[in-house]
Formats: sequence, structure tokens, C-alpha cells
Amino acid sequence: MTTNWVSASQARTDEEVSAPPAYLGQRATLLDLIDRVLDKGVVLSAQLMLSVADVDLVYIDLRAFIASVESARRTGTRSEPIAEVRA
Amino acid sequence: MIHLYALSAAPNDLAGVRGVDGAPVETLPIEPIHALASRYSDPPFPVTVDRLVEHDAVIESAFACGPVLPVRFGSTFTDERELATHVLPRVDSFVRQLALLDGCVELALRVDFADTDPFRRTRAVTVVVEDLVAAAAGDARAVNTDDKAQGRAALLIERAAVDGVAEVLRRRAGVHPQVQVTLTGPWPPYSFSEHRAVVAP
Repeated sequence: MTTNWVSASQARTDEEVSAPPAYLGQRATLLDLIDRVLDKGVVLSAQLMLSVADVDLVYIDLRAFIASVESARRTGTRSEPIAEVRA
Repeated sequence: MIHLYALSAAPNDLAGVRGVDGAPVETLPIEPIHALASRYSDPPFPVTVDRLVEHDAVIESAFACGPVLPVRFGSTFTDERELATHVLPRVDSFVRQLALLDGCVELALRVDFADTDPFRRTRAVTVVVEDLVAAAAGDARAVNTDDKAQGRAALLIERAAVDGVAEVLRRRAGVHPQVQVTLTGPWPPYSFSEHRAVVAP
């Protein structure tokens, strides 16, 4: 089993391709951030859902890409920096 | 255009905080709560990783000052009047939600299982997520397992309980050697910002 415990008191030691922004310290992966910012949180109106629908598509593409990068990083098959990712 | 980051109970002092594309962050009163937002002259901007990170950074800054309801990226309004039109019909719910979330943080649980058979993978991660959440549910204020089939769950816990819950999950994960378990946090309560998501475990 490989278990990553990335809590406030347990700093992550492995270098991540999907490096989290500096203010997050060692507590998160970019994949988890994207899961939250694009897929969670309050949605205020049905009207907004129209624009958010585009966000849904971006979310699916972006998440799939970053998940593949993280997965490949674990298996040592890919090393592109996440900075190249743009939706 | 107004880009909304979060709703908060108290007016946050975010004078030094920069939002998406470096814009200043304003606290707009929509009594009895407040909206954290930035103004832009251009139409809604496309999604980029940098903008997602900047959006989250504002929410994190506000969360450090008190309870917030994170707003999903992409929520934009023409002006303050339109923003208020969308917030006010649900403002009582937001007030209750902010009270429930006070003092709590979100821990994110992610279970990965490498299997080429998607049905087997889904079944495996669902079972593990359910087991891990059950192990920690007694210490959680609420749980969100909407995405358990994707190997994800969120726990709403009191801030002081973070280390204890992490230890419970660490021990329980040891009985699932076939999967990779990742726990991240503490996060603002992204997964508990809609009233339907906050339920007793």
C-alpha cells in the first residue's frame, strides 16, 4: 500500500509534478484543489449554471490530465511540469 | 463584471489580498452576510490553473479569519444588484450554514486503485471510501460521500480534531493494502457549502 498523508502536521516529502501553490505549503495536491474549486462550493442560480456548464467541461478535461500526470509521477513515467497545463 | 469567491458571516479585512489576475478583493455587504468579490471590466475570463489557484487563495485568506462558504469558480455577475438578487432569496440558508461551519475544516480523502476494469475499480474504491469514512464518522461533524464511486469523500471536522482524525484514517487505511490513500487538508468547507451536503454522519 502507498499512503500519502498530507495533513497540516504531516508534511509531504516527495516532490510532486502537480506541485501545490506555495501558500498551501505541503498540505495539498493540485488535483485536490481543482476538485474543490471547479466541482464544489455554492452555485447561486440556474442562470449561472449555463456558464458553469463550460466550467464542467474544463473540469473534466483538466482533472483527467492532472490525474494522469499524478499517476504517471507515481510510476515514474512522466515528468512534465504542471506549469504547462492550461485549460 | 463581479467575480464572486465566497460568502462570509463577518466583513473580512482583505485589504492586502489579491484575487484572480491580481485584482483587489472587496467585501460587499448583502445583509446580514458579506460577499467576497473582485471587479473586472472585461467579460468572464477563461479557466486557467493560475486563476483557479488565485480563486482558492482568496477563499483561504478569508477562511483564516472566520467561517466562509466557498463559491464555485465561474460565478460572475453584472453588478452588485444582480449579485444581491441571487444571494438574498437564500440568505437565511447561508446564515444557518455559516453557523454550522464555524470552527470546522474539511479533510479530503482520495482513494486510488489501479485497475483496467472500470467496474472493478469503482467497486474497490467505493468499498474502501465507505470503510474509511465509517471509521472516522464518529469524530466528524458531517461527511460528504457524493463522489465515493470516484474514490473521493470529504469530512467536516472541528479544527482541533484534525490530527486525531488523520490518525484514525491512517490506521484504518492499513487494512486496505491494495489501494493508495491520500488525505489532504485542512480545506475551507468546499464540500459542505450547499445545505444539502451538511448532514449528521
